[in-house]
Amino acid sequence: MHISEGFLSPQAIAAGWAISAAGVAWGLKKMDSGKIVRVSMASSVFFLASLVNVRIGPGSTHLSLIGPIGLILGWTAFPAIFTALLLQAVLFQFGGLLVLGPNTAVMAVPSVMASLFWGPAVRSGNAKIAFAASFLAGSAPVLLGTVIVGAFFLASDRELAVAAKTIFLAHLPLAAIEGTAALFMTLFLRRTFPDILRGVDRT
Amino acid sequence: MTHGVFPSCGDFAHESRLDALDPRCRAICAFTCAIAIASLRDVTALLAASALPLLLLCLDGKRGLRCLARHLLTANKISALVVLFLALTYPGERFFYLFSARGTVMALFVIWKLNLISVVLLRMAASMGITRLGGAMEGLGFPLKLRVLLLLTMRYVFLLALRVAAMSMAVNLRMGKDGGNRCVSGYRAYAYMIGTTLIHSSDRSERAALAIGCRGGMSGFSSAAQSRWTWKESYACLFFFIYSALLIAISLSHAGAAMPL
Repeated sequence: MHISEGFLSPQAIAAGWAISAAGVAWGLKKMDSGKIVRVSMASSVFFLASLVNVRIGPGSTHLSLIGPIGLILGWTAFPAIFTALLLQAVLFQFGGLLVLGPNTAVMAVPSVMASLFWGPAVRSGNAKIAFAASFLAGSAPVLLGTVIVGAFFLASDRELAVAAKTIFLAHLPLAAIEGTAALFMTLFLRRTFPDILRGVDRT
Repeated sequence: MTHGVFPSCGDFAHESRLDALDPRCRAICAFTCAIAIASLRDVTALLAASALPLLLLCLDGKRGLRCLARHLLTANKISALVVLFLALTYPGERFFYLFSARGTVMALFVIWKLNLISVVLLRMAASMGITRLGGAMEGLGFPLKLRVLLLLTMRYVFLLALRVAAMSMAVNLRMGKDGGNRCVSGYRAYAYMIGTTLIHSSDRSERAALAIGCRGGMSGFSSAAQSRWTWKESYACLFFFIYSALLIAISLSHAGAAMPL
């Protein structure tokens, strides 16, 4: 999901930074000073969780968990993802500093969308609806993220359309796995600590 | 402390001759140069752009070089799949029935740019470490909430790393090597592990927020280090601006041979 340095044109980078700046500003506005610790704790948990290897058949991968982070943080997912990606770029060179803006847009926009579209269904009293919404809240953001990656690629060079489609198709299995992990996680949180799913910006 | 979760040589921060410069100056110079390199579209301009990263490579000792090499390897590994897609899916003539000639040239071009930008940003900005980067953000007028969030996230990443490492080891031990439904049970164990850590961290964050409130709230996060902008910083910025402008001028003068990216 990370876009590396060198792939995007300056226009696409500027667009990514503009989207991120707007999202981060709005997220910070929605975040009370007293909630910063909670947002930073959640951000660091997801940062660490995304470093853990998860097996897929003979291989392994790192999950992004952008759907669940959106469900828990709401709009404050924007600054949380920005800081987590900044740390990843500085500590491990995942992504990069120049493309930090586009990468934040790629992950934070689907994350907030998951909170807005699937959040109420995940918290609903109907178990079947919550079950389906939890899966979708995990998988749909991954696919939306790849669509945004594709949009950035197309903004850089129109002939990258096939590459963008290939990236989308390559992420389909990962979306299913992310959906499964999000499903188990939200069902667990619904049973043990349902308040956490209301979102930091709403509590 | 973070063994098992963080890759080795995780933090790139190290002593450097560039430490003589103000963090704000380093951040401004790094981003100006990186944007200029990102905008380059021909080989001549990229050759000219390679001079500065090479100079930066020569500045620090062996430890810095080793760490930089590891980070560059990671950056190249992460982009390898997309670079491969680029070579396979780009329109135009094919060789070995699979690879697009234009796509392969562009992939090599992208890898070159990726490494140049990474060297500049790692040497100039990332080597400052998060604390000094936070100081630079303060000097450049970033919102206080964002800086506090960055510093706290950094702190809690190191604080929770041991716990996540221990829990993921426990999950791996319990899952064993065999079992018909290993994947799904693995995802469930992984999801429960994150859920449990989230609940514990939520409790802990309530207490941490109270403690921070007792210590003076967010006003306690102002940087203690005095920033100093002298003629050295001004000359460094001037040099980087002129260098970046020259690169763009070279690129524009070779517009006919430009690559799409």
